[in-house]
Amino acid sequence: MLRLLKIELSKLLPYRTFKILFVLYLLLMVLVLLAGKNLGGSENEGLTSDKVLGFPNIWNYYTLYACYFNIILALLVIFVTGNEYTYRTLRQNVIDGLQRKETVIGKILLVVLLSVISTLILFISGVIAGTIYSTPETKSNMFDHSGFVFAYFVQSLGMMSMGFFFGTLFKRTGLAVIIFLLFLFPIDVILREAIFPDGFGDYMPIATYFLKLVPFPLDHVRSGGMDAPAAAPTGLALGVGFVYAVLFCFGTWFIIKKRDL
Amino acid sequence: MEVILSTSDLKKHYGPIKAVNGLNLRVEKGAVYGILGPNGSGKTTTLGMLLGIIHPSSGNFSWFDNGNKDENRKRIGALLEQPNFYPYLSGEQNLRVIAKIKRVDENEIDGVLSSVNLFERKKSAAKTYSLGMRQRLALASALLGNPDVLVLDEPTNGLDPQGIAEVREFITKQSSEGRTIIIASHILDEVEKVCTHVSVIKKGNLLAEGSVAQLIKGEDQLEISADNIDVLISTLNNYRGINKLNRENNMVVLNVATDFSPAALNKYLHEKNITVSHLNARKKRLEEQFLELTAE
Repeated sequence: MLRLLKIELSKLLPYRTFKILFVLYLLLMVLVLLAGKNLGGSENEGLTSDKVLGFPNIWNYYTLYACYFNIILALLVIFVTGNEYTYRTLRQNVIDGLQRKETVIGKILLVVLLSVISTLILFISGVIAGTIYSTPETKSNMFDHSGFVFAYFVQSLGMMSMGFFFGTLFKRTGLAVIIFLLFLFPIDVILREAIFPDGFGDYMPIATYFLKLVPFPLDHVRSGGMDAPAAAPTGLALGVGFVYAVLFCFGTWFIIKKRDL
Repeated sequence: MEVILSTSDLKKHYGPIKAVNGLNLRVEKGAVYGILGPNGSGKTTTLGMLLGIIHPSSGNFSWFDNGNKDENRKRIGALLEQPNFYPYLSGEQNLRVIAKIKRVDENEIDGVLSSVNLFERKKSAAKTYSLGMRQRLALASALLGNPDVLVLDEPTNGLDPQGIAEVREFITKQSSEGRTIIIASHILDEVEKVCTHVSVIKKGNLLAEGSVAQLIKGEDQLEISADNIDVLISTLNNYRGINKLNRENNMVVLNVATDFSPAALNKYLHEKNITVSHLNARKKRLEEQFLELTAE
């Protein structure tokens, strides 16, 4: 297992696109916190910095924005997967003795590693920002609603698995990126609103990852302020999100197993 | 003899196209085995199946009498079609990836890079390499892990004369170190120069298989012509060292041993008052057989 992860890292770490995208990702993760720094006044509908960045609401607000940066990680996985076809290195890896199964497991391990790292970044930055902006009485609620952190982990796992699946299915990086972006916006909306409008559509992959796992917090802040419970991600949403991640990985394995490389 | 590779009725069909149509090959240890065939005859598809990247439609193959297990490929160094590398990684970094895949000590990398004269350029990104250098890097990666077998698909394709000579030298050297080598090629001359055994395939069918010596039969061919063909033939019938004599239009084609002296024959005919109007040594029979076998 460790060997497979090492193989993936030795391909990835010197890759300049990876370095640039990952630094961009890190910067966005930290800088987005600054966006909540100067809130206040009527134009912000009662939102103040201590409500947004203080415990426990920060977990909801932070993941709400940070989850969009998972798109960067998903694109990264598409690039890395597509490269293996463009450079014909997947084929060469198998010729050199890697099992088809191992090529899939290696990438899944990479996805899990990147998810763990991104979740840790979210958690650590969240604790630091939360500590700075919380009032003494909200500090005791530090880890209330930290279920959002776990939701974020499931989301990044799912988004990257989806990238892995698309990269494998379409083989060409450009095509995979375009289809992925279309899925991200119009296709999922069409599935949700036009084809499965009766609630089932809310659990399409993108809807699950962006609406169910990280619900929009404004309503609860407007109505109840700090005392009202935030809408934490439900067990159902977490479960569905995780199942999608598994399905994407399994689908990828199925394609690679069946296909002539 | 230890059998390195055997295939039985190996087939790959893409719909109605029979890319490989029931190949039975047998490669023995120590051989330099050439798979000779025109472009599109199924050579690469065959090697692709033997190397685990193409699923056979039917039939079997076995490496080292150990079936088609993935682990067998760790004993094989292979280069299929063009060299495939991560272009942004250096030569050395590319070999590190491969060493990890093959579970080979990374200390071997410098040695194999030196053996193909790439040590000086090991820190440069593979995308800066010339085609010849990439080919050599591919040969270096094939050598990682000291494999028992090298599989090389069109190893001199696209190389300049110096590159071609280097690759041939490489093959001879590896063979002399006891490795079994399987080469796919459409270049007859190449197969004839480096191989001990050859199979000729066309449209996925095996046309001939045997040792190069067998297929060539150690014979040269000589074209000869004179004003009076009939007198020439009756005179030649009395000359020693001619294995076979064929009349082709207005010339005679002789099959002779490779040490046959055309000069001595010419002198003999001159003494018999026959003036030779045409005397030409033909290429060896493998080419003729190849063309004959692969003709439409």
